[in-house]
Amino acid sequence: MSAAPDWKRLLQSAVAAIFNAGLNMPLQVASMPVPTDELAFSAGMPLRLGDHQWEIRLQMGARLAIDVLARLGGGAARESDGQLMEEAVAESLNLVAGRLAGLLNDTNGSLELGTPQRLSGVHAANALLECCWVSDAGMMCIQLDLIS
Amino acid sequence: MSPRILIVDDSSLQRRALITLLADYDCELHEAADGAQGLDVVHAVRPDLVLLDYNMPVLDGLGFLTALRANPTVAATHVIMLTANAAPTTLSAAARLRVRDYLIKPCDGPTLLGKISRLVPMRLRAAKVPI
Repeated sequence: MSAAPDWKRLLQSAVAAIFNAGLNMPLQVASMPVPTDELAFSAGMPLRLGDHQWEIRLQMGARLAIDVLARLGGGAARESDGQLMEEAVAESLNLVAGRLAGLLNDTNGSLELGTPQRLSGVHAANALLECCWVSDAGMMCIQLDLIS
Repeated sequence: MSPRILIVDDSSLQRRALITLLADYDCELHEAADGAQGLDVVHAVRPDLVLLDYNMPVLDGLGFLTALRANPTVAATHVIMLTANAAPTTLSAAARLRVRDYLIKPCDGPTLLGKISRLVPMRLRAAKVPI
């Protein structure tokens, strides 16, 4: 494998393709996580690129997850519908990772995606890369970690 | 006879959204959560059309397609692939396995219905009249 992928650029492109274009849900890139006291939901997914194992994690505020759920066709939800919100976040991660694979496979070889998993929390301290977005409906951040 | 449509997607949210989209149409819906389950359902119900996710655990979309096309009894089944992976390599691999059409996720309902209608007859269910 030649140079390491420019993960930040790739992630921002993948998120723009899925949220801004696909879901018609404009998100603005933020420089850091936005403090919020609303409930947040997380999902994670292992990625394998060449000899390296990565983990990508997505954390989304409840209001944003409600908006995503409706746009994905999952119907209306309330913050108390925890399982639905988790599904919305896991599917969002699935879509972003799928688009990421499309972007990477054209340049850096084969990115293998694992299965999205619900997470009980995020591990910001371990993240090698964190990208954040905001919209009228709240915040979202993606963390990327090199596992091995 | 109503068309039989199989939805193969590991996301229960996506399966539910597709079922909701197709609920008003006169068709028989089946679902599976991965490619291996999907093949079992294909052999059990012989669907007219499969709506197939690309990235799934156990057996992914391309693995499902390879097995489907290798079995003469079900090889002619129509497949529309739904994928977030818009890479030319992915789409050409799917095309080589005779995918009839594809749609990049997140899917737009009317566009998907249009693509389905080109492959199987889709008629709205008769409205229920209260007695």
